[in-house]
Amino acid sequence: MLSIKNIWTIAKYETKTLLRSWFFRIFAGLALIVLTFLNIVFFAQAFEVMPWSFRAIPASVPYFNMMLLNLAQAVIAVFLASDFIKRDRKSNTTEVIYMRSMSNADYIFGKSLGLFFVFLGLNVLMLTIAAVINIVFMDVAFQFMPYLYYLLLISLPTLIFIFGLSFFVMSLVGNQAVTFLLLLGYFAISLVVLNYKFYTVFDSVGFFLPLAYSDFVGFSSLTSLLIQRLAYTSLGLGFIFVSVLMFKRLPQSKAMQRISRLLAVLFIGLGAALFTFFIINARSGEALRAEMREINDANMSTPAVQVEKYHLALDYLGDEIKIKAELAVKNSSSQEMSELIFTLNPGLRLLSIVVNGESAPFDRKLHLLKIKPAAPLAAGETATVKLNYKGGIDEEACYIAATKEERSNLNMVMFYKLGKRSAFLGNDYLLLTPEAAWYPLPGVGYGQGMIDPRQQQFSNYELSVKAPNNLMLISQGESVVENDRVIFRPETPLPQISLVAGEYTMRSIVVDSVTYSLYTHPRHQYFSEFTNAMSDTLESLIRELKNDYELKTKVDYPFDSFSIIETPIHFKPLSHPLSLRKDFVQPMQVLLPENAAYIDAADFKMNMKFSRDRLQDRNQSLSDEEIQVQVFRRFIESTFLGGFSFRRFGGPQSSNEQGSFSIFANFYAFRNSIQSTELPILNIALEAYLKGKVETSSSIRGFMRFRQAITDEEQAILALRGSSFQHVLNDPQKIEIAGNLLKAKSNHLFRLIESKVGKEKLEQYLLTTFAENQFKSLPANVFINNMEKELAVSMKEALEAWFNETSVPAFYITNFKNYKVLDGDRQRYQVIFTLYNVGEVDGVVVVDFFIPGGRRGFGRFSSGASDYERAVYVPAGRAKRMAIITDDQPRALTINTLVSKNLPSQIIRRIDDFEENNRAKPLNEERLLDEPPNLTTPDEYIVDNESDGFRVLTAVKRTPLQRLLKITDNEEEEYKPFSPWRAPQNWSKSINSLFYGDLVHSAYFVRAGNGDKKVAWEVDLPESGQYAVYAYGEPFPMRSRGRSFMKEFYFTVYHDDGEEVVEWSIESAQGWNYLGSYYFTAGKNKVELSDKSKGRLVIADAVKWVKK
Amino acid sequence: MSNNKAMGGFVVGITECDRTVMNISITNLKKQYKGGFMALKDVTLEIESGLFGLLGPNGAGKTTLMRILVTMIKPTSGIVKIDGLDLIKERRKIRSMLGYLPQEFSVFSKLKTWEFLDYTAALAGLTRPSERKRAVDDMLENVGLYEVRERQANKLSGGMKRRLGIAQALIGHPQIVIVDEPTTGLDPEERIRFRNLLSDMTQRDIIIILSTHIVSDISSTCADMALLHEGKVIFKDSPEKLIEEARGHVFKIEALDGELDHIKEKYPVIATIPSEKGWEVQVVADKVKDYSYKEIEPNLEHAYVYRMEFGLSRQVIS
Repeated sequence: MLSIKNIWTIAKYETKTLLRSWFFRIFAGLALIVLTFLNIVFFAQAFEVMPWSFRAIPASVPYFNMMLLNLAQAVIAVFLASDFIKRDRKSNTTEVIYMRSMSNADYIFGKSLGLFFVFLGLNVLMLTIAAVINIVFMDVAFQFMPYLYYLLLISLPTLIFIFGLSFFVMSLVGNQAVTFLLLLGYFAISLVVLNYKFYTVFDSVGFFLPLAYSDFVGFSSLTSLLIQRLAYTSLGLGFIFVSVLMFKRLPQSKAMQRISRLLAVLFIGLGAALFTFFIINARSGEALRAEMREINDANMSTPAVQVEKYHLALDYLGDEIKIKAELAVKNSSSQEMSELIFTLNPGLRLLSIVVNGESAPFDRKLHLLKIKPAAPLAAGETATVKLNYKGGIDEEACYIAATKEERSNLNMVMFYKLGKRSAFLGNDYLLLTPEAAWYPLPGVGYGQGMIDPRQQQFSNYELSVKAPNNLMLISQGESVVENDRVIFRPETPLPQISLVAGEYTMRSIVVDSVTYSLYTHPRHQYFSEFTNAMSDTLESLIRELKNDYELKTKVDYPFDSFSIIETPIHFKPLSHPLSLRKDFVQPMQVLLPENAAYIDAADFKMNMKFSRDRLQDRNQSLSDEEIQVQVFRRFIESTFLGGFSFRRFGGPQSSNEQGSFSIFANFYAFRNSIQSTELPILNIALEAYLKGKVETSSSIRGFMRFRQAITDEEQAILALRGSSFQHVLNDPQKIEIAGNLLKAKSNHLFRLIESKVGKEKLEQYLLTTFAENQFKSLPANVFINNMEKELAVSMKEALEAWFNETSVPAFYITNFKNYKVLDGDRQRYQVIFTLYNVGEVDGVVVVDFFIPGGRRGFGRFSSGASDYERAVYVPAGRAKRMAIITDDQPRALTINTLVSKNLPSQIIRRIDDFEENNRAKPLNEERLLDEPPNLTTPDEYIVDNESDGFRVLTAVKRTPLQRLLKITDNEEEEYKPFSPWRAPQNWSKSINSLFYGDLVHSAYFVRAGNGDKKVAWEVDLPESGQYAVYAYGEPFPMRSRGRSFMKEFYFTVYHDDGEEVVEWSIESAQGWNYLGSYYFTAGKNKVELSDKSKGRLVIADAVKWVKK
Repeated sequence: MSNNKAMGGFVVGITECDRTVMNISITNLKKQYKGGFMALKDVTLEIESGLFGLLGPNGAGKTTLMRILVTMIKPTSGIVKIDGLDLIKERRKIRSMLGYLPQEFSVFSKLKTWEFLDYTAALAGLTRPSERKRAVDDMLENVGLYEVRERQANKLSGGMKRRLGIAQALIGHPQIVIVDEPTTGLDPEERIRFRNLLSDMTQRDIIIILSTHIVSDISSTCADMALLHEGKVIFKDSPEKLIEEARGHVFKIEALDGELDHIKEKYPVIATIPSEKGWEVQVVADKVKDYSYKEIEPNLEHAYVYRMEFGLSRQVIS
């Protein structure tokens, strides 16, 4: 049997041996140095560039350290674990150990324990260093327990699994090098290829597990985490026992061999069972949601009642809730209702249902509840429905229409995997949004289609809650305490309510009779020291921000309170296919992640420092209060008001959740609703249009295209090539792009109407209609008919074309002119250009200017339009001459072609110099031209990278590892992000306004090299003669430490007298750049460009031959 | 009661309580390796307390027999009983009785001299730290390694390593000590010390099996011995008996310069010493013809050669 003494002795001396091994010492030393350095960089903010999330995510320090150390130690553990068997074979002193009286299990366990001790020591040492950095340098609180949790959840299972696997493979293969390669290959494949796929079953190192820790609720899904980690621990132990059996020493205890055999089978079986359970558990959600969608589809045509009033009495019982719901319902359909259909979370068990005082029978199928009243409900009739139910919330039943991709993708911020929780119901914390269906929602939700069949209703709510005293309760409406219950009674009808209960600290301020509240975790008060100086100005600042936003939306904030509520870091509302908003935003509330962890604008400390640095650079100074106001304002604007902010130094942004916290829904979606069973999409389209008008569009965000070559909306528009919008909406395969397409199409539809009836007129109609129908649903036919009547526009026709057109317009912008002009005694700026729609359908573009300081709203990258913004209608095949005059000098002309063939869809044309033109008269007009402009210039031959004459001469090169791992470098994507920091190894195509192009402004680019990767532009010249050769290029505004990413390029011009290498610097470029004049014989001629350059990358765009 | 005795530099501690009557009984032992090579062919041996010499040329099967006895490998067939315990069935008990010094003993893990001994002591059953520390220190003192106890074991000289080897084999008072080719590579002084040490150990009633191909190791220490050849025991008795066999078969021949090569072809030559007339050649033979010779007193080396050259056909096992 096992001898603890033997095991301990072997472990003790194995530990000593390993600690003296240079291999381990070097690894441990390097790991400690590198990780300490990274800790200083990331957490002590040594270089001040790291995103806020590194410091803001609770327990980010131990998570970060364990995650990285674990990856490194996994490799080393494989080596050392296989090494002991090799050492044993090599060392001839081993026999004097082997012949001692001990079982093979004693020996293997002793060795494992020895290995384990050294790694444990390293882990503890690293965590101690990290803890010191955490305590000394960081703004956020230090907590001890997560350090222990991460050690137990990340490191320990990994080590046990690796030891077991390495022993086993080494025993099997017998060669350490082969074992090392095999296991390294396994880890590489599991990390790079399998990564988080298959529900993270292959993630033995726990790299992809949602391990972020919340101060509210701890780990995201502890049970599932424990199952996965226990499964690997169990497999590891199983392999260790297998290794005992395979150990090349005659066993001395038959009993121990039998026990080892039994335990090997047991542990491996347990591991397999845990994995099976883990997978079944993960898959059960899919099956549940599929069944729920089917049920919804089957009941979609059954009309739902209108709930006039909800009276909900909720008892919070820890991991369960008990609710008595009383609903005043009305049959507002034209038919009799024999069944009242509701949706209720399948985790909730119904105890009783009473309709109009009589107990009513009901059918319950998962979430679907069909109540059968004693007598059918006649049209217009009302009834009282009382439901009594109790239970938990099945989160798998939330977001049933979210795409598989969104569901399986990691919710990752930087290195941290946050998890995806839709609701919380535990002992100390509760967060319920309507998505959790914690109260009966009338009708059914999503089926297989992309459109939510549930019509938005406005109901009066009264919520009374009984909860443990230590928890603060937060919901819509003012709260009053009556007996032992807290009662919430929102003043206005609402489309939905939510409930939060937890340990919170509340601050609030009343400004102009709106109560603004901030609910944060008691430990999350880091921001107070960076907002303490602005207490006197807070009121006026809030007023100003509110007024600004109201000015933009032209709608007054319709509620009497607004709360920002900190929620667990794992809270991740998924998307509904065509919905524009995330459930982070609830009526009168924004649910913000803990410490606003993935919102960089919330890094008050660093943002204040940046502000001070900027001011210092400009020899300016502001008081602490002024700086605090500036930083706070930027946080509010960029987070809640749809503004946009760049991070300094172009560093990474924490998350792409920007825009998810916009309060815009409070100005439209939670206030108004256009109701239609035939055209449910109209309501969302209106929301998209209105939101787009006040917030930064993604095309502006995608201006630099560092991350994405084409924006999500452009990607969606590509789906319209030969396909109608209707067709896309009916194609389940297109669900990924439908939301973005809807945004683009909505903007297009209403901009088209704007261009026809005028911006002000449309705006006025909408504002009046929405104000008159506040907090109630407006039937779509009423909305459309009124619109047609009042605006004299054929809305039905526009909608018909909107849904069914299978082509999109395409725009050329030509004949561009700009000059200064005298308007009376005032100097103004004239811009003239022609918009030519070469497409087969009518189109609309939005023309605007970028005028520094000339926009309303927020700062440089303002979301608001300038005063010159206009929608311009251009019929198919026609051209329009635009003459616009501005008071201030515009820096750029922006033409958003909306839904078109143009890429990028937003064309930005820089306007550098305005020369004086005293003879010209100021002109402000849109004129449809009789003749389209001539798009070609005689004697000019242009070969663009999109032309047939352009060729990439060098075959795509891949490293052997890339070939082995089949890394395709996103080959399937035609356009790659234009990232100068990570230029591709092979010539790749990207999109940018600064590139040359007719409809598609693209160019090839490559990482600078030694000149062996070439491209060529080949032209077919019609006649021989002297030609001037030009290459197209614009210097890019972004820089690396003040220097351009691009330097000189080397073009080789092949002409009649041979070839000439022309060195040309893009830094001084401006559009078409002269390379030289040469004699060319008629026929094929070419210019080549290689990747040789001292810069970081080389761009190949277009070449022009001009006959002299 | 301690019975320490200094012998040529080594001092070995023996206590009264160690005295037990031990025996090893090997019956029809066979070992065939995977490639088909038969290393042991039907070996039957009885080994009693005391120093037992196992002599044989390289490849005779000595190491195989040793490794079977120390439970490192399994015999193909046959029975080995140690003190009545079956070698296969009672591995745990047998291993706790053993001390073993393998033929090769030079590559160590990165442990200090005292640590290595402490490691083996703990595995040999000395579990109480204070007891173990005392035993380790005593043993290091006894084998003359105390001064270098802090030195890494793999940095010891060859002789020191051997001493450490014997120390680890002896620590924990094993009842059977098996030493395989212990004097290979040792200088003459170290070899004598080592032999003395083995002799001294026989004070205890334990079995010491000394496997060697160096005849003098046996002749100077063992009271009982076996001669192994090609996996078989070709002789088992005292060294004196073996010497007795060779009596009358060892000769000294006075040879002229030109005769030496002829003698070498004709007889197994034990020694060749230059003399005034030419050479004084010692040979073993049943009879010497054509040369003037003188019969001399045989020693174990002569007996071993005689047995290997002339006695194999007789297969005498005493």
